[in-house]
Amino acid sequence: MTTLWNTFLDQRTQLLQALWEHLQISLTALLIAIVIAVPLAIWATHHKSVAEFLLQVTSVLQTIPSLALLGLLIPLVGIGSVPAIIALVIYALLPIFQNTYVGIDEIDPSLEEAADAFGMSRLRKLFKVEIPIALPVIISGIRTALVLIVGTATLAALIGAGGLGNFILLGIDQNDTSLIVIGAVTSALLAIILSALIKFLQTARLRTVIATVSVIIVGFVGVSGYQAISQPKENIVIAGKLGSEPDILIHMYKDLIEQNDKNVTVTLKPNFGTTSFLFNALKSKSIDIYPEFSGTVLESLVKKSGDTTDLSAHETYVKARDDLKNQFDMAYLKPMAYQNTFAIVVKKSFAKKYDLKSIGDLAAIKNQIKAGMTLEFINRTDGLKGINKKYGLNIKARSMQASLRYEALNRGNINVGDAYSTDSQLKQLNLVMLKDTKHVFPPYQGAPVMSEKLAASHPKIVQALNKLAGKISDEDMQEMNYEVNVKKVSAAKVARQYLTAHGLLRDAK
Amino acid sequence: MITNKQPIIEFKNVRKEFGENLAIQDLSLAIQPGELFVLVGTSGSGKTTTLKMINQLITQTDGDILFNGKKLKEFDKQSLRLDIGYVLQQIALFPTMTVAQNISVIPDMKKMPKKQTAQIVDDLLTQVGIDPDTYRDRMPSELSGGEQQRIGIVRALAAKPPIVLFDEPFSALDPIVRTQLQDLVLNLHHTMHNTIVFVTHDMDEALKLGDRIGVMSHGKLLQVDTPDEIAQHPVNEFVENFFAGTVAKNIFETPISKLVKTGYVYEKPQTNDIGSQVEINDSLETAFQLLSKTSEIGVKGKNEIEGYLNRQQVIRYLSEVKR
Repeated sequence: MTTLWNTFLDQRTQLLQALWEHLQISLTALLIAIVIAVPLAIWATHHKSVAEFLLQVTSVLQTIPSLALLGLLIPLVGIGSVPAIIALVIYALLPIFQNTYVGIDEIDPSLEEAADAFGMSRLRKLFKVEIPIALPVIISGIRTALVLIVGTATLAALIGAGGLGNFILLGIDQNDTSLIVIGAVTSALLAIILSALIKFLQTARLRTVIATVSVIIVGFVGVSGYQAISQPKENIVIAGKLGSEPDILIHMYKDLIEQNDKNVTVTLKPNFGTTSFLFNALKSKSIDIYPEFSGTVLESLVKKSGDTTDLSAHETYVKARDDLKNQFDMAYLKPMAYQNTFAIVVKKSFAKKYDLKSIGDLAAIKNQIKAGMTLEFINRTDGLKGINKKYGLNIKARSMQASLRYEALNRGNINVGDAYSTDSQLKQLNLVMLKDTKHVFPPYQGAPVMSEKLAASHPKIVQALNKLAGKISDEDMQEMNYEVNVKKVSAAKVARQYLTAHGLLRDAK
Repeated sequence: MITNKQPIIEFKNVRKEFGENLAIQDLSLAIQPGELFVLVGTSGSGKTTTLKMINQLITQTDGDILFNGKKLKEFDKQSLRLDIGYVLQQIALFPTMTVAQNISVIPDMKKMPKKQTAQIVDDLLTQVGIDPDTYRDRMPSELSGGEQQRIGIVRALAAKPPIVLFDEPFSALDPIVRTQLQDLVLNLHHTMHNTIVFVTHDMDEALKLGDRIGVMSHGKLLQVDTPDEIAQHPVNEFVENFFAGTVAKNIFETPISKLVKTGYVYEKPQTNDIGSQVEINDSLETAFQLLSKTSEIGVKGKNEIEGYLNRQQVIRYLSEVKR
């Protein structure tokens, strides 16, 4: 409970920001859905056959898994809040459309007849008779949609739209229950409060309703407007993959750039997603810079050219830099010192029991192996596929999310896992790396990747980022990851401590 | 009752088909201004279809309907309907509006001043025996069925339309409330002098209310006449049976008003042996008791003597009413 409270205090600024983003996305989606679904449903009450068709369509849309829908939208509209809002609108259509349609369609026909017989025009009948009678049903549809939207909007974090989902994703990644609880509870509270507000507006007098809605709209426009005006400087967006290490790195980037170039502000999008997602975001200019590993560039991003096995760390970097430049017109700045690489890890006690030193030793105990690994590792040729091939093993691993895999290793649900050599959990959980005697895992070095155009036009940014070249050792990185993941120090603080200690920041702000 | 004035509503060879089904065949009918005209018939006879063609909720397939001599087709439907009151069997008060708002629906559309409308609401509520201060702001769901239909009637009358249509308005109400509302309609008709077209399947109701009655069956208008003509001279067996079928289960409970309406009561006394008076709403049972003492009795209406009933006429009624 105290941890929860401390995390809450620690994160309250970020929480407020996330809450605001969540509210913006949810309410925008809800308003758009209402504007589309209500008039459409009213129109459909006079066109029964179309209504049946539309009900079917909205039902089908509802059945598309939200994750798939977000994925489908990325190639069409990119990432960020636009695809998130589109997806949410699509989900909200059914309850609003259905309730509006049913609400009006099920009005006692004698009331319709009375309205006609008294000489009401169609519009007058709609506003004086039909909508007031159907209103409770319509409102309940809107509330259903709202709860659905606020809940689903947590997935928006997956495609870089921010919101409370960031807390949940981060919590899962760092195995930090407090963050998950804070994200989930805040999202649930938001749904409850907004739903109650709508219920209140339903019974309130018209004047109150108009006043409340106006305040909300003015508030939105005001805050957005203020944000727009208050950022006259050029804004650079830096994103990082899920996890503490990229989070620390991008905070360093921000501090260094803002120190070096006073005309630029940096917006960070931490825990933005996985490799291909970030790379696509960079290509579509949704983000400007993100840190990437040289080996990952060669394995996953560029088209294969030539033999990449048995390259040294430097050779790997140079090849990655050249390929990025030639194939994507991107600049890959100078790498940092530490080498991060994949590793096969087991518990120290397990290694001792079976006398495991290198990956090849696993062959002797192949019947005892229970492996759990990340999906990315399982499918990479420089990952499990390569290991099985080169060492003549036949390890079948269950796919697991990274931090869940550590949890499983710790509890003994699995006894063999994959890891990054800089992960803080190696130290924390007493894990040992098995030696890669056949050099399947290439040595990876991290460096910022950005478009050539940006690099050319902003020498100050390049200069700032190159200050990290050759800095940060393996131990430094493991230590910093430990600070963030285990000691719960914020990534911003850890980044600044390092920069200050190594004289890279002139004066702490 | 039949005058030479121009009819307010006139059907000329009207025909209505619903798809394959012939609902009305060749109907011609003239309704006079100020008349309370009742259309009576069994279900499926076409009486409600006929009524709904007057305010064009249903449009005829063929033929013309005239309103004050002008074809209905030439009117703007909405403004035409503002001049035709409508009372529904289902009552159909708007559930989201208060009593006052329901009554103001048509005055509001006619852009009457708010003050005047409020005055009309209060006056009419008082007239139908509902206290405006207590009921004005209540919702329809808080009212009994009888109260609701009173409001339904007031709503139809609020803008003082020259003609009001009643579509079986009392068939869902219990007998006591029904009798009260029938009296209310007669009263309102008496004070407002508007034209009423009233549809019912209940011959007793038709006899009680109608200045003239039109009997319908299978899409045809069989006979249009005053109540006593229909009772005394039915045009065919169907009308005769329909009329006979309305006799109360217990003949003792037959109201005296029915004998008045069907022409068994003389305007002037026939003998000198006149005893006490019977109320028009009393039953035959009371009349029997009084007629056992004297051979003739007076029939007292609301304010004045409606006529005189003697032993011979009562026996004649009993002999002519078939079971």
